[in-house]
Amino acid sequence: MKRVLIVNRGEIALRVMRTCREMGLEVAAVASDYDMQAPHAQFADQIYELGPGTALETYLNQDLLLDIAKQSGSDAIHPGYGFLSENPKFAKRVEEAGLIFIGPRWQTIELMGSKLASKVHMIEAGVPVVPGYSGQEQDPNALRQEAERIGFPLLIKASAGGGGKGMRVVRESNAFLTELATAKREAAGAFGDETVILERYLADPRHIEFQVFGDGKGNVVHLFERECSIQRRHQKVLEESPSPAMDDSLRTAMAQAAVAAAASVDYLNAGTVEFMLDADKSFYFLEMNTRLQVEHPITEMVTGFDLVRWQISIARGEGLPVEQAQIQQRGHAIETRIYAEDPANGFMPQTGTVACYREPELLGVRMDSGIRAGSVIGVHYDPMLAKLISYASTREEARQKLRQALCETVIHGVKTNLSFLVELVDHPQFVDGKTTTRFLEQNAITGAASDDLQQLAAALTAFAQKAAKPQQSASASAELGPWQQLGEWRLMP
Amino acid sequence: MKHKLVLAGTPMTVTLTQKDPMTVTVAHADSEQQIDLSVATYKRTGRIRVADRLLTFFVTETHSSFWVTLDGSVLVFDKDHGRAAASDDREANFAAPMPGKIIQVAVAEGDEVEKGTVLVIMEAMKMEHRIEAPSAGVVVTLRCAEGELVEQGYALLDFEPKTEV
Repeated sequence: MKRVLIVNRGEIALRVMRTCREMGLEVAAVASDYDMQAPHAQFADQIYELGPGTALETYLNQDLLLDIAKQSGSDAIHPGYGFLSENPKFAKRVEEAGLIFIGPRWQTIELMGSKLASKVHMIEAGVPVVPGYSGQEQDPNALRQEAERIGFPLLIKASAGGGGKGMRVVRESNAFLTELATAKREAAGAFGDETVILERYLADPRHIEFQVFGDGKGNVVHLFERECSIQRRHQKVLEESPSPAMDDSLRTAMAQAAVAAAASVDYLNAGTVEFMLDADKSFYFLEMNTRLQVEHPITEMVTGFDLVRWQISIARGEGLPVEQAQIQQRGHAIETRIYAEDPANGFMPQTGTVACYREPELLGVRMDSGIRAGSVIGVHYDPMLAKLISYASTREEARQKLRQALCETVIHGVKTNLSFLVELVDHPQFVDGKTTTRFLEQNAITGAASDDLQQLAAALTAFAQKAAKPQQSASASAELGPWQQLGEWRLMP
Repeated sequence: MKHKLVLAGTPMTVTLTQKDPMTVTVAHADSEQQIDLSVATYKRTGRIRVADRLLTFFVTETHSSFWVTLDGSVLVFDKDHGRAAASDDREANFAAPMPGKIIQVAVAEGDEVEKGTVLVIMEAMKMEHRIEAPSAGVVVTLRCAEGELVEQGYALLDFEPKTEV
């Protein structure tokens, strides 16, 4: 493997490229017209234009991406997360083109991509699953009958889904058909498949997942858990490792189930087994994500391993870098996702130009970001801008560090959820580690400032100075080093 | 120096009343407050002492607003260009809450609807958002069609609330 094509954008494209560069691999990147000046496009050794148009015509355009792979002389493709990362047809076409797909086998992606088939498979493998309906019968009235049998509240999920799209909670029988129609429409729009499954909706569960790696030759290891209970509309907002809900015996039991789930398909490369953990400590298989997760950095912090390096080593056929006994969980890591959204206005996605951008300068803090000053945030892609991760010896230290880091992160010009995240990490229930997937439903957190703070902020506008105009051309930004680009935002005594 | 600002619909005026030590007056509605900025250690970014705490702040001005990050809060002050701050409620209610695509127009012009009826379904970043009737009333004019892309704030329709008899 000499040259890797990264068929993604934003922070994850950058994150993968950094490890490739450390390993002495050349990186080729792709960018739509909107993204030609984006940090990921500027970082790569080679950049290929995907042209204008929607995600479907660019980052999801398999023919175009495979042509670029050939044209760029790449011998491997890293899909990142989202886009084509869990598309079995793409993984298969990459393989058929004689290239290495840095990820699982396409057959595994196909199996786990279907919530229906994966659930049936896990039942056979002896992994506990949530009661529900995952049959082929998709007639609305038949589904309604199944819903009555399972009982309310229940969850409608797109069989091909992920990321909360095509997912609806139904609290009463009357609302079922309306919610079903919406779920099917979202599913068809996002995944091109309107098949849904029904599941009992656990009242107050936690979301716990295990990172696993397999060598495709029967060996599977786990890299401990991540707790991702804090979600809004099924989109994760904050993740941490270890989980405050874990004790040693539960951790051992869940890790065994995760490894069994992965081993049952002779898993290759990186994967995540997601579980719901009920208040009585019973746990159920939710789904398996056959890719690198957004929240993988917290596992990297607590284990000390670079998961992208592992992915590449395994894709090269070098096997698992270490044995289970050599994998330890040390300290505590917390990640928050910074979204372009307005918490004061129903978390609506926001667009605009980043007028000022500054990352925190603290020890033990990692910022995985896909933006910089001048970046234009449009409607075309996911509203996640960056991830802020803190690491310390204890949970409370990591929490305090994260809070300070959030306070020192500046994104002006586009509204973000930063103040919401500060209020979240200050919340007594989070401080106590007593959060479930319904935490954000049960607590109205908006990050609104007090009157005193508003007045002081208004007074501080007296110090304002116009932000630099966004950079218009590639040459302008290429001439400026990173320190010059920081401009007036350096902290000077 | 004096500027007029609007924070989440509330108009305020910021006036530099004294240069050394630097003092600013913030006035809004019926209150007026003197704020001493001489305790700030740097200018556009730095630390300011409030009671017994030092708070970190960052300030940026764009063509239309001031952005302030202060103690973990981000505040956006829109510049008031002399426009009336109050907007037409009827239109504001049906402004597209986000830029995106109209995926369904569930009503027709002249339809009488009940409170909570879904009028329009939009999609942005692959998530659906429903625009519902805030009260019983009549859809007077539709300004959007299925498949259209609209900007944030675009008035999707005119709605006449039913007046209680």
